[in-house]
Amino acid sequence: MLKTIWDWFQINSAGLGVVLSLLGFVVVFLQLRKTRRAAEASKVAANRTLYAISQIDTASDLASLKERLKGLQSSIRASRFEVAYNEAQSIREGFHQLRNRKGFESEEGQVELQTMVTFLRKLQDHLERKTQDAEYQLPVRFISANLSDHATKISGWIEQRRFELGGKSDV
Amino acid sequence: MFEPEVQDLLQELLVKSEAGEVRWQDSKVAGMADTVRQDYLVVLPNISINIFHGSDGIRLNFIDSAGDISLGLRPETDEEVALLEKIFSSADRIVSGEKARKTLDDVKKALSQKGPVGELERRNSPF
Repeated sequence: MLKTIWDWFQINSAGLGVVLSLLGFVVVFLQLRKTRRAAEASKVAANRTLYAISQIDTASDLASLKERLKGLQSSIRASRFEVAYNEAQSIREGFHQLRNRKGFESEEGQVELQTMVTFLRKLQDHLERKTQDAEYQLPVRFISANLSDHATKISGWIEQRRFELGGKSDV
Repeated sequence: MFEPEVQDLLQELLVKSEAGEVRWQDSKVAGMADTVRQDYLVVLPNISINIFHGSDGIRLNFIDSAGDISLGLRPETDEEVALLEKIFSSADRIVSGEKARKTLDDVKKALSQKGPVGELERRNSPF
Protein backbone atom coordinates (compact mmCIF):
# COMPACT_ATOMS: atom_id res chain seq x y z
CA MET A 1 0.00 0.00 0.00
CA LEU A 2 2.76 2.38 1.05
CA LYS A 3 4.73 1.42 -2.01
CA THR A 4 1.75 2.26 -4.26
CA ILE A 5 1.44 5.67 -2.69
CA TRP A 6 5.18 6.21 -2.97
CA ASP A 7 5.16 5.27 -6.67
CA TRP A 8 2.22 7.55 -7.39
CA PHE A 9 3.93 10.35 -5.51
CA GLN A 10 7.14 9.90 -7.53
CA ILE A 11 5.23 10.00 -10.82
CA ASN A 12 3.12 13.06 -9.91
CA SER A 13 5.55 14.93 -7.68
CA ALA A 14 6.20 17.75 -10.17
CA GLY A 15 2.49 18.60 -10.59
CA LEU A 16 1.86 18.21 -6.90
CA GLY A 17 4.77 20.53 -6.16
CA VAL A 18 3.21 23.17 -8.35
CA VAL A 19 -0.17 22.77 -6.67
CA LEU A 20 1.42 22.96 -3.21
CA SER A 21 3.42 26.03 -4.23
CA LEU A 22 0.28 27.73 -5.50
CA LEU A 23 -1.53 26.79 -2.32
CA GLY A 24 1.36 28.17 -0.27
CA PHE A 25 1.30 31.35 -2.31
CA VAL A 26 -2.45 31.78 -1.76
CA VAL A 27 -2.03 31.20 1.99
CA VAL A 28 0.82 33.76 2.16
CA PHE A 29 -1.18 36.25 0.06
CA LEU A 30 -4.24 35.93 2.30
CA GLN A 31 -2.09 36.26 5.39
CA LEU A 32 -0.40 39.38 4.02
CA ARG A 33 -3.75 40.93 3.16
CA LYS A 34 -5.01 40.21 6.65
CA THR A 35 -1.86 41.72 8.17
CA ARG A 36 -2.17 44.82 5.98
CA ARG A 37 -5.79 45.29 6.97
CA ALA A 38 -4.85 44.92 10.63
CA ALA A 39 -2.02 47.47 10.20
CA GLU A 40 -4.37 49.91 8.47
CA ALA A 41 -7.01 49.45 11.15
CA SER A 42 -4.45 50.04 13.87
CA LYS A 43 -3.19 53.16 12.05
CA VAL A 44 -6.76 54.51 11.86
CA ALA A 45 -7.28 53.70 15.53
CA ALA A 46 -3.97 55.41 16.44
CA ASN A 47 -4.96 58.51 14.44
CA ARG A 48 -8.36 58.57 16.14
CA THR A 49 -6.69 58.31 19.53
CA LEU A 50 -4.25 61.11 18.67
CA TYR A 51 -7.13 63.27 17.47
CA ALA A 52 -9.11 62.57 20.66
CA ILE A 53 -6.06 63.37 22.82
CA SER A 54 -5.46 66.61 20.93
CA GLN A 55 -9.14 67.60 21.26
CA ILE A 56 -9.15 66.79 25.00
CA ASP A 57 -5.92 68.76 25.38
CA THR A 58 -7.44 71.77 23.59
CA ALA A 59 -10.69 71.50 25.58
CA SER A 60 -8.63 71.42 28.76
CA ASP A 61 -6.64 74.50 27.70
CA LEU A 62 -9.88 76.28 26.81
CA ALA A 63 -11.37 75.42 30.20
CA SER A 64 -8.25 76.83 31.84
CA LEU A 65 -8.47 80.04 29.75
CA LYS A 66 -12.11 80.41 30.71
CA GLU A 67 -11.25 80.14 34.40
CA ARG A 68 -8.40 82.63 33.97
CA LEU A 69 -10.80 85.08 32.28
CA LYS A 70 -13.00 84.80 35.38
CA GLY A 71 -9.92 85.45 37.54
CA LEU A 72 -9.10 88.51 35.45
CA GLN A 73 -12.67 89.73 35.86
CA SER A 74 -12.41 89.33 39.65
CA SER A 75 -9.06 91.14 39.78
CA ILE A 76 -10.48 94.11 37.87
CA ARG A 77 -13.57 94.22 40.09
CA ALA A 78 -11.32 94.12 43.17
CA SER A 79 -9.16 96.93 41.71
CA ARG A 80 -6.05 94.72 41.60
CA PHE A 81 -4.97 96.31 38.34
CA GLU A 82 -1.34 95.18 38.26
CA VAL A 83 -2.38 91.59 38.87
CA ALA A 84 -5.04 91.98 36.17
CA TYR A 85 -2.40 93.30 33.76
CA ASN A 86 -0.26 90.18 34.26
CA GLU A 87 -3.27 87.88 34.01
CA ALA A 88 -4.31 89.52 30.72
CA GLN A 89 -0.77 88.99 29.41
CA SER A 90 -0.80 85.31 30.32
CA ILE A 91 -4.28 84.76 28.82
CA ARG A 92 -3.17 86.54 25.66
CA GLU A 93 -0.30 84.06 25.34
CA GLY A 94 -2.74 81.21 25.91
CA PHE A 95 -4.95 82.33 23.04
CA HIS A 96 -1.92 82.80 20.81
CA GLN A 97 -0.88 79.18 21.46
CA LEU A 98 -4.27 77.92 20.25
CA ARG A 99 -3.64 79.18 16.72
CA ASN A 100 -2.14 75.92 15.46
CA ARG A 101 -4.67 73.64 17.15
CA LYS A 102 -7.29 71.67 15.27
CA GLY A 103 -10.48 73.67 14.79
CA PHE A 104 -8.68 77.01 14.80
CA GLU A 105 -6.84 76.74 11.46
CA SER A 106 -9.71 78.26 9.51
CA GLU A 107 -9.78 81.98 8.74
CA GLU A 108 -12.87 82.34 10.91
CA GLY A 109 -11.16 80.64 13.85
CA GLN A 110 -8.06 82.82 13.47
CA VAL A 111 -10.20 85.97 13.36
CA GLU A 112 -11.99 84.89 16.58
CA LEU A 113 -8.63 84.41 18.32
CA GLN A 114 -7.29 87.69 16.91
CA THR A 115 -10.38 89.52 18.23
CA MET A 116 -9.79 88.15 21.73
CA VAL A 117 -6.06 88.87 21.64
CA THR A 118 -6.74 92.42 20.43
CA PHE A 119 -9.30 92.97 23.19
CA LEU A 120 -6.81 91.79 25.82
CA ARG A 121 -4.07 93.98 24.36
CA LYS A 122 -6.28 97.06 24.52
CA LEU A 123 -7.44 96.12 28.00
CA GLN A 124 -3.78 95.95 29.07
CA ASP A 125 -3.18 99.44 27.66
CA HIS A 126 -6.03 100.77 29.77
CA LEU A 127 -4.92 98.86 32.87
CA GLU A 128 -1.45 100.29 32.44
CA ARG A 129 -2.91 103.77 32.16
CA LYS A 130 -4.97 103.13 35.28
CA THR A 131 -1.88 102.06 37.29
CA GLN A 132 -0.14 105.27 36.22
CA ASP A 133 -3.11 107.57 36.73
CA ALA A 134 -5.37 106.72 39.67
CA GLU A 135 -7.96 109.27 38.48
CA TYR A 136 -8.47 107.42 35.22
CA GLN A 137 -11.90 105.78 35.15
CA LEU A 138 -11.97 102.21 33.91
CA PRO A 139 -15.39 101.14 32.59
CA VAL A 140 -15.42 98.08 34.85
CA ARG A 141 -18.95 96.95 34.02
CA PHE A 142 -18.29 97.25 30.32
CA ILE A 143 -15.02 95.30 30.54
CA SER A 144 -16.67 92.69 32.71
CA ALA A 145 -19.48 92.24 30.21
CA ASN A 146 -16.95 91.74 27.42
CA LEU A 147 -14.96 89.22 29.45
CA SER A 148 -18.21 87.33 30.12
CA ASP A 149 -18.98 87.31 26.39
CA HIS A 150 -15.56 85.85 25.65
CA ALA A 151 -16.00 83.23 28.40
CA THR A 152 -19.35 82.27 26.89
CA LYS A 153 -17.76 81.89 23.47
CA ILE A 154 -15.06 79.66 24.97
CA SER A 155 -17.76 77.52 26.62
CA GLY A 156 -19.22 77.01 23.15
CA TRP A 157 -15.85 75.85 21.82
CA ILE A 158 -15.45 73.42 24.72
CA GLU A 159 -18.94 72.01 24.10
CA GLN A 160 -18.12 71.61 20.42
CA ARG A 161 -15.10 69.48 21.30
CA ARG A 162 -17.03 67.42 23.84
CA PHE A 163 -19.69 66.79 21.20
CA GLU A 164 -17.09 65.68 18.66
CA LEU A 165 -15.72 63.22 21.23
CA GLY A 166 -19.19 61.80 21.76
CA GLY A 167 -19.71 63.68 25.01
CA LYS A 168 -17.39 61.25 26.78
CA SER A 169 -14.86 63.76 27.98
CA ASP A 170 -14.96 64.94 31.56
CA VAL A 171 -13.27 68.22 30.68
CA MET B 1 8.57 109.74 8.57
CA PHE B 2 6.71 106.67 7.38
CA GLU B 3 8.73 104.21 5.31
CA PRO B 4 7.74 104.30 1.58
CA GLU B 5 6.43 100.73 1.89
CA VAL B 6 4.24 101.73 4.85
CA GLN B 7 3.07 104.84 3.00
CA ASP B 8 2.02 102.69 0.03
CA LEU B 9 0.25 100.23 2.29
CA LEU B 10 -1.68 103.03 4.00
CA GLN B 11 -2.67 104.45 0.62
CA GLU B 12 -3.96 101.03 -0.39
CA LEU B 13 -5.87 100.77 2.87
CA LEU B 14 -7.39 104.19 2.28
CA VAL B 15 -8.50 103.34 -1.27
CA LYS B 16 -10.07 100.07 -0.16
CA SER B 17 -11.65 101.72 2.86
CA GLU B 18 -13.13 104.54 0.80
CA ALA B 19 -14.57 101.92 -1.53
CA GLY B 20 -16.31 100.46 1.54
CA GLU B 21 -14.31 97.25 1.33
CA VAL B 22 -12.73 97.31 4.78
CA ARG B 23 -14.81 95.97 7.65
CA TRP B 24 -13.98 98.58 10.26
CA GLN B 25 -15.46 97.99 13.70
CA ASP B 26 -16.12 100.43 16.46
CA SER B 27 -13.59 99.32 19.05
CA LYS B 28 -16.60 98.69 21.27
CA VAL B 29 -16.57 95.30 19.56
CA ALA B 30 -13.02 94.83 20.75
CA GLY B 31 -13.92 96.15 24.10
CA MET B 32 -12.93 99.65 25.03
CA ALA B 33 -15.18 102.18 23.35
CA ASP B 34 -16.20 103.78 26.63
CA THR B 35 -12.67 104.92 27.35
CA VAL B 36 -11.53 106.04 23.95
CA ARG B 37 -14.50 107.37 22.05
CA GLN B 38 -12.91 107.48 18.65
CA ASP B 39 -11.24 104.18 18.11
CA TYR B 40 -11.69 101.86 15.16
CA LEU B 41 -10.39 98.41 14.39
CA VAL B 42 -10.23 95.98 11.54
CA VAL B 43 -9.50 92.40 12.57
CA LEU B 44 -7.70 90.15 10.09
CA PRO B 45 -6.76 86.50 10.74
CA ASN B 46 -3.24 87.34 11.94
CA ILE B 47 -3.27 91.05 12.58
CA SER B 48 -5.53 93.88 13.73
CA ILE B 49 -5.29 97.44 12.45
CA ASN B 50 -6.26 99.97 15.09
CA ILE B 51 -6.67 103.68 14.38
CA PHE B 52 -7.55 106.12 17.14
CA HIS B 53 -7.19 109.63 18.47
CA GLY B 54 -4.98 109.43 21.55
CA SER B 55 -4.02 112.21 23.91
CA ASP B 56 -1.03 112.98 21.65
CA GLY B 57 -2.87 112.93 18.34
CA ILE B 58 -3.92 110.38 15.77
CA ARG B 59 -2.20 106.99 15.81
CA LEU B 60 -2.36 103.75 13.90
CA ASN B 61 -1.16 100.45 15.37
CA PHE B 62 -0.75 97.03 13.84
CA ILE B 63 -1.41 94.43 16.54
CA ASP B 64 0.00 90.98 15.73
CA SER B 65 -1.38 87.55 16.58
CA ALA B 66 0.40 87.57 19.95
CA GLY B 67 -1.25 90.89 20.80
CA ASP B 68 1.96 92.88 20.48
CA ILE B 69 2.14 96.14 18.59
CA SER B 70 4.25 95.03 15.66
CA LEU B 71 4.16 98.48 14.08
CA GLY B 72 3.02 101.70 15.75
CA LEU B 73 2.65 104.77 13.57
CA ARG B 74 2.73 108.35 14.86
CA PRO B 75 2.58 110.88 12.05
CA GLU B 76 5.37 113.42 11.95
CA THR B 77 4.53 115.52 8.90
CA ASP B 78 1.31 117.27 7.86
CA GLU B 79 0.95 114.84 4.93
CA GLU B 80 1.15 111.87 7.27
CA VAL B 81 -1.42 113.39 9.62
CA ALA B 82 -3.71 114.06 6.63
CA LEU B 83 -3.34 110.48 5.40
CA LEU B 84 -4.21 108.98 8.79
CA GLU B 85 -7.10 111.43 9.22
CA LYS B 86 -8.50 110.34 5.85
CA ILE B 87 -8.31 106.69 6.89
CA PHE B 88 -9.93 107.57 10.20
CA SER B 89 -12.78 109.48 8.52
CA SER B 90 -13.34 106.61 6.16
CA ALA B 91 -13.51 104.14 9.09
CA ASP B 92 -15.86 106.52 10.89
CA ARG B 93 -18.16 106.70 7.86
CA ILE B 94 -18.22 102.92 7.48
CA VAL B 95 -18.98 102.29 11.16
CA SER B 96 -21.60 105.08 11.36
CA GLY B 97 -23.15 103.97 8.07
CA GLU B 98 -23.38 100.39 9.29
CA LYS B 99 -25.11 101.50 12.50
CA ALA B 100 -27.55 103.73 10.57
CA ARG B 101 -28.29 100.93 8.10
CA LYS B 102 -29.04 98.49 10.93
CA THR B 103 -31.38 101.02 12.53
CA LEU B 104 -33.20 101.65 9.25
CA ASP B 105 -33.44 97.92 8.55
CA ASP B 106 -35.04 97.36 11.97
CA VAL B 107 -37.57 100.15 11.40
CA LYS B 108 -38.33 98.95 7.84
CA LYS B 109 -38.84 95.40 9.09
CA ALA B 110 -41.25 96.60 11.77
CA LEU B 111 -43.19 98.78 9.30
CA SER B 112 -43.44 96.00 6.71
CA GLN B 113 -45.31 93.71 9.13
CA LYS B 114 -49.11 93.62 9.11
CA GLY B 115 -51.05 95.24 11.92
CA PRO B 116 -50.10 97.93 14.41
CA VAL B 117 -46.45 98.71 15.03
CA GLY B 118 -44.95 98.92 18.49
CA GLU B 119 -45.62 97.52 21.94
CA LEU B 120 -48.82 98.23 23.84
CA GLU B 121 -48.47 100.36 26.92
CA ARG B 122 -47.81 98.12 29.91
CA ARG B 123 -50.17 99.23 32.62
CA ASN B 124 -48.46 97.23 35.34
CA SER B 125 -45.01 98.28 34.38
CA PRO B 126 -43.06 99.68 37.32
CA PHE B 127 -41.51 102.26 35.00
